[in-house]
Amino acid sequence: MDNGAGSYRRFLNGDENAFDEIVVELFDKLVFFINRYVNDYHTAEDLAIDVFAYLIANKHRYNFKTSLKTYVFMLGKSRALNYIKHRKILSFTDIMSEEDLCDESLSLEEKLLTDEKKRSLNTALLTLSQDMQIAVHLVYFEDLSYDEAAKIMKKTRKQVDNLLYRAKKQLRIILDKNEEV
Amino acid sequence: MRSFEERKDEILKRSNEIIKKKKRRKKIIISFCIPLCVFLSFVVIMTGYENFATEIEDDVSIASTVTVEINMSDGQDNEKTVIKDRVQTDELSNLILASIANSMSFPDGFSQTDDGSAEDALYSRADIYMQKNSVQYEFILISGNEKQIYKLNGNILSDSTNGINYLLSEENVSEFTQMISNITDWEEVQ
Repeated sequence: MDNGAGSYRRFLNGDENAFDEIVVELFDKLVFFINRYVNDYHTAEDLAIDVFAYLIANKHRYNFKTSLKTYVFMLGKSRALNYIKHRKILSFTDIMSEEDLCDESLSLEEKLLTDEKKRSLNTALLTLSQDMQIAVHLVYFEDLSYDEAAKIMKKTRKQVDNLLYRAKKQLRIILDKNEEV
Repeated sequence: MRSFEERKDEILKRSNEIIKKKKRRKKIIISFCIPLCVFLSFVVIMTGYENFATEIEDDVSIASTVTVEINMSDGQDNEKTVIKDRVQTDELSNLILASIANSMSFPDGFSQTDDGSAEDALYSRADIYMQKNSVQYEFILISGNEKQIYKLNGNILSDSTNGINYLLSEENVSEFTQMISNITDWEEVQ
């Protein structure tokens, strides 16, 4: 699996349908990932649309040296951090009820996390620091390698390794407590 | 949550906006920055050219002399000649310029028109051999309506037009003498 790179190559060669394949393959995953940063489903969706629009408008920026998924997640991360910094995009939390947002986040979670274990892990993740959440998300939910995760997070492989080690330690305690309850 | 088609439409709409923005930015660069650069480089070139032209003008102010009138006086006889040959006039003008450039600074308050006390003080200097009975030369450089008068007495060259005196080196004085000695066409003035 090339994580969309092949489809993107076909898109560059003029195959319009190839881009649909990329959207189907990566869009929801990207929204779920961005949501880790912004904690707002609609903002995450908005930023993900921005990332894909950038991908179309700047066709030759992607150099195929990393997987398309890693590249798209890197773009998503930088946009999310930019959003947090500047709050330029209208926040939907003000005009929509928290309940609706929760429902939509949950439906996306159900769609992406079919495994019950993963869902309970996702709930437990919310208690961890953001860096740990992102590291676990990329490696365990998105099945990316440590190197790819490090690239997206702009950290070294060792740092990601340490983050995951500490995250696992904390998660084990949380999940054990939940099981006891 | 947006449907797949809604997402796709939104992505295409935004990508078109980005592409339009890029094109607009390119247009701004082409329509504003390039003419500005051309204008600035034109201004820079023209300023450089004007400075160069002024320098040349300064340099050629004397060199473009058309006629030189030389009056020679040894206290008893007066002789006069007019040089119209371009080569000779240029040579003399350039010699005057070169002599001025090589001249030593002249003490303030001294001039050939000063009274005796000033002249006495001047004569007392060993490097000045201006003598009352030595031959005096007057060079009148004429270019168009302009006249510049220089007087050579011993080793003192006086710019009568501007009232400045220059103390020439012996070498420059001998160059003057040599040049004048080449001129044979003198006529006596009563």
